[in-house]
Amino acid sequence: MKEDRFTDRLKEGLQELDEQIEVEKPSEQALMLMLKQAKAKEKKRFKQEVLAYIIVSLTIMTLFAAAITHLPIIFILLQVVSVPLCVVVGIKEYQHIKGGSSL
Amino acid sequence: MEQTEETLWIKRAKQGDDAAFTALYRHHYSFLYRYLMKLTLQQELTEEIMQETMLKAYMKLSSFRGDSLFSTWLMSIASRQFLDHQKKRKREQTREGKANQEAIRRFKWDVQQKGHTWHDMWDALNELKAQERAPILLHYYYGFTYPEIASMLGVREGTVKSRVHHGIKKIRKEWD
Repeated sequence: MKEDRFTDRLKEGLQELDEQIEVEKPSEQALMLMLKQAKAKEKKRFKQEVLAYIIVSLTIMTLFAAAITHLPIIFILLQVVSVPLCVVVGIKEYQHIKGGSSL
Repeated sequence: MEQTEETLWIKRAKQGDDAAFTALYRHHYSFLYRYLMKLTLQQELTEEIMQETMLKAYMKLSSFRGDSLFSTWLMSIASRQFLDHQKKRKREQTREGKANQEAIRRFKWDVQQKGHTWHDMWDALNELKAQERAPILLHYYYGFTYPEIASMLGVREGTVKSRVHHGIKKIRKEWD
């Protein structure tokens, strides 16, 4: 009984809050423009990420090449560390991508 | 918009028809906006998350299988965007904290200007952690079950139950 009263009070409060919210619905043209801008922003972000990826990859490759030719022991150590790290990063990234919705 | 009509819009949007997607999003705009406003109590933040949700929904549209209503799918995306936002904001709390409070005060002022009462319960709800607020709203106001909320938020059912329990306990404490 007490639980029901609490639930009703909570619902009523939320209903009243809902009634206070005014929504200005954008026009379809405005939404199209918004979508276009968001897509452009996303494209820019993607390009920046690819660029960052290439720079980091090249740096790592250079370090690897230097390690192979000059310090083989460091190369082996890097291999030992990077393989499990890649697995962890892969799992995290998969979870992040999957994070959208399973509905 | 009827269910069959909506299905048609979704099909067209999946085929790359941007006009169909925006029409679809516009149809659910008010519903989604109201949901986010109840979560945030902040107009600017709501609008920001609305934009992010639109882009995310656009990009992930192919993954919508139709197992749930389209509005539920949008709510799921919006909820996750909101929770991500709160995580980021938590890291920048000192800088953003004041701005958040100011935005909430503006909404409070708007409500009071129209001659309505600002309920303490809304403050109590807003003081909850974001991860508690979202499932409480989804369960008590929108009537989603715990397994549905778990699926929407991408967490375990037990986690949802526990967050709702803790959140409700805090609200009760405020009320008593």
